[in-house]
Amino acid sequence: MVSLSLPASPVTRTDRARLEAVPTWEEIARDQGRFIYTVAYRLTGSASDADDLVQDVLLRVQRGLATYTPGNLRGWLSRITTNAFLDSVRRAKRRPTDALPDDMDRVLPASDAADVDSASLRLPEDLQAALLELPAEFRAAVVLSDVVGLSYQDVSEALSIPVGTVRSRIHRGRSRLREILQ
Amino acid sequence: MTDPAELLSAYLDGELDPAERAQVEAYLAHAVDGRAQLDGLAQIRSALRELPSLDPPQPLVAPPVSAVGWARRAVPLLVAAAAVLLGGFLLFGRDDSSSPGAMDTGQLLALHQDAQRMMDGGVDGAPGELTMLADLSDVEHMPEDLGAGMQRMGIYGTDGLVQLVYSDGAHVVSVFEQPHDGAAPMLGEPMEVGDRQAMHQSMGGSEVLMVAEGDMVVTVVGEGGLDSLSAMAGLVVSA
Repeated sequence: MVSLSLPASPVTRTDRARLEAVPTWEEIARDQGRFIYTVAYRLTGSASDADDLVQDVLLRVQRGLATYTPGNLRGWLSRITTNAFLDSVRRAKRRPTDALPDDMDRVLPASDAADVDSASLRLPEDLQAALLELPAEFRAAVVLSDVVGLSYQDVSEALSIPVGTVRSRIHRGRSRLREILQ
Repeated sequence: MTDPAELLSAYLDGELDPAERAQVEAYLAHAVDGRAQLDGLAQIRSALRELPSLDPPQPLVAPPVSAVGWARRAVPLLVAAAAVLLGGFLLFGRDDSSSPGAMDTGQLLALHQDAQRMMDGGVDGAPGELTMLADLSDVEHMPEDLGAGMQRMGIYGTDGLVQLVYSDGAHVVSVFEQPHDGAAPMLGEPMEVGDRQAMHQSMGGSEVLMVAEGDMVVTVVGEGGLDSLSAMAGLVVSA
């Protein structure tokens, strides 16, 4: 008779990686399709753009499954989605986003204190419209942090930027959303 | 020292070290509107967290299997090669429209120069007769950046040829991928990229580096010098 023993200590990331099997593409499409589409929609703000982005993401997922290390599937999928999104933004601009990465004050000045009309926040479409006013790199950081729920460290790894930059982009992004929604 | 007001979001998220946290708490205790700022940011964060999940308009479908792509494209190239060879001609180096993958290094350089014009002018389009690839399943190597600030700007292709264009805002590097059967012959000075056989040529002020990678040839074209190009080629073939 075979018995299963569970680890007595808290399950570490490495343990999870061992315990969790690599999903098939079909499992990802079935179980994570809603998640991928939601992240894509929050980034792009339109059903047709989200559809295009999801197709790009699915191809990247298919290619990347062979090298995927189990442990944080949604973190991996949201990383692929935001990078595919940022690639599409760069393609559209045909130029690097030269004003965005480091010169935060010029792009998004810090806001003064003011209460936000909480009624306006009850409308998801208002918030979605405000999200679209953020520069793509700020939107990506805010979506990964507040929609997906990644830690700053995970956002940093997903976007290949320092944690300090993540911190700044999330703060400036949220501050700008407050201003827009006032 | 960072302005404590700039740390309010990280404070909310529990992402500060103890010293920074103390700095923010001192700020909140004294700043007239500190608490209002914090509350406003918390409202935004809650609203974002509460955004509803969305159902895709149609079920997700499997993309085409990648292995089929190269095979599908290799067959016409092999047929074209056989036809040309039977006719007593050499395939390589010819401008043969029936086998568009068999481009010589001059043609690859022309595509690279097209990409430079696109990037310099900020214009839409694609190099030469290529089109922007929507289906990336056939692209074997497509790193998002090549180091030195070179970010991927676009992926273009036609039958038997993929061109990835990278830019740091000033310079452009093109990476071409071709199935070995359809690629131009590897000519030039032999060298190694990692442990792979490679050939190098200087043409028209550009460096052209061709690397044998399995059943493919990867060609990297740029102006940043052979050493940086070789490092980028190594990154591409190991991606």
